[in-house]
Amino acid sequence: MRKSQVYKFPKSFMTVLEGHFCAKTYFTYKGEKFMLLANKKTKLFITALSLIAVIPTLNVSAMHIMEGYLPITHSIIWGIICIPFLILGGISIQKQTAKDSKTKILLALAGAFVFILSSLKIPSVTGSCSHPTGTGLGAILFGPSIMSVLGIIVLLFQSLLLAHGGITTLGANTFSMAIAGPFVSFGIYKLSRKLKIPFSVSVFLGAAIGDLVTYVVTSFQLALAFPDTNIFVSLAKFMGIFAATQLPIAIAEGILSVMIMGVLEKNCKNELQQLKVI
Amino acid sequence: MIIDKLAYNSRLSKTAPTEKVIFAITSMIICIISNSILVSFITILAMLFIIIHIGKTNIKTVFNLMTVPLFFLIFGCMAIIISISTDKSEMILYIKLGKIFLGVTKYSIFSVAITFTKSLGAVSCMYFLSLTTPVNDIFSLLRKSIIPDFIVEIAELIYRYIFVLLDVCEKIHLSQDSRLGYVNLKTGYRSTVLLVSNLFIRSMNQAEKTFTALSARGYDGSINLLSEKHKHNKPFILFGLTYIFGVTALTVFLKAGIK
Repeated sequence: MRKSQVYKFPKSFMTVLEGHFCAKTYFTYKGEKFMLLANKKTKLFITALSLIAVIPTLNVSAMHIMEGYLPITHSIIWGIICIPFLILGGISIQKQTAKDSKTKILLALAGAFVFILSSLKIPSVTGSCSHPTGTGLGAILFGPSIMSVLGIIVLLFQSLLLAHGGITTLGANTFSMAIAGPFVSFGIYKLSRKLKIPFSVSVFLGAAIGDLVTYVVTSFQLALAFPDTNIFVSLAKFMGIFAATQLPIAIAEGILSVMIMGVLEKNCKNELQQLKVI
Repeated sequence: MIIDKLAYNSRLSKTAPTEKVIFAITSMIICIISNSILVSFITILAMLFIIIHIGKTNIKTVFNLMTVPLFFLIFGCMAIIISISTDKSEMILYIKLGKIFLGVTKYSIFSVAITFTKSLGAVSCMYFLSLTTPVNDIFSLLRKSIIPDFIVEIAELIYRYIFVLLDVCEKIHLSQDSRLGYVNLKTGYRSTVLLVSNLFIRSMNQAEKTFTALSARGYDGSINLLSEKHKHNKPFILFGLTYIFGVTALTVFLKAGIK
């Protein structure tokens, strides 16, 4: 070992390090302890740790599970779980379009609106930009079962046009972003309206909690696909890593949804009443 | 939306979409099932070959697009590579936190390498599909499938209006930005709110206008579009068939070899 690669630490510091790093990163020579600074493994580990610090500043839409990331059985099972919700949404769309042929065009524009909303960069608390899911607001505006059908179409476009998400993971992504998120958002919004909680607070709760549910469900899906020693450990890992980006986004999205609903309530009451929000 | 433009400009855009979709999805499934680094690398190379050599898409653009999924992959792989356990015997490298150990095992490095390449392989298959097939062709396939027609119709309309609304959105954003609308966080929020609520009002108005315009032209609740005529691309079919047979054989061979 060349001397230039070795740094001599004070003994008290070494005893602290001793407990926390593995034995291979330092060695003893003539009774004194030395730490290897240029150790490749240490470098690798420090790089990995610093990545965790860097990632919140990246501009990401991390909630989409990437193409090919899940095993094929998981992809199929998540797809099957989505089917009843989609059929429910399909039936309700068919009923409404049969009543009024204008609904189809209204829904198309709603879908396009959700797509733009999810590709929008929102200024986030950490200083970086991040994409909202947009599904919370969509669910409150258009209803959750319709949102699930619009959601799967939007997710298909996102994978084809923006390379966010994928075709094999479409089922899993649909379940987390277009089914779990919207249904929880809508449920919480309706519940808090019934409990006479003010309009803005219930919109905030609906949008923010819906966003968080999306993130928890995605972590759960990933943890099921990649169990560590057991599922709960890996669930904690995935949630811990996603929390860095998702908590600020959830809060930002909640605030934005409240402000948007405020403006919409003031300016286009007719449309909202048509959509049965208020 | 650069992918959409590239898809229309590809040499393979006029090829029959059925062949392309079947090819993309089969190779994607083989890549995922095979679970091997070798097959994934072959898939990536083959897809890049088709996109760049047969489809004549710009090589730089394709490589830029390949970096899009990297963010998610870094995120996801970080969680897989670091394992948490109370037993440090298998770990190559670890930190001690109280009674538990955070570290990297041989197995986790191996599984990350496989997941990473497998996912990139599948992504390149998806890129093949989205860089050579215009979305309208995919709709014509979806109409033939079990998906109800009214949903495909809504999807077609959504596709059309994404571009209309995106145009509006970009114009509003540009004019807000040039008036220092995003100078700090507070103004940024205000501008975003104005942008989104205006977009909502515009999209509802657009729906009204579109419906009026369509009814004036005899709209009865369904829009039927003619699909384009497609050709067969011989080099693509030849390459695709040999590729799929080759990779399937390799996968079967690898699986048999492991057992």
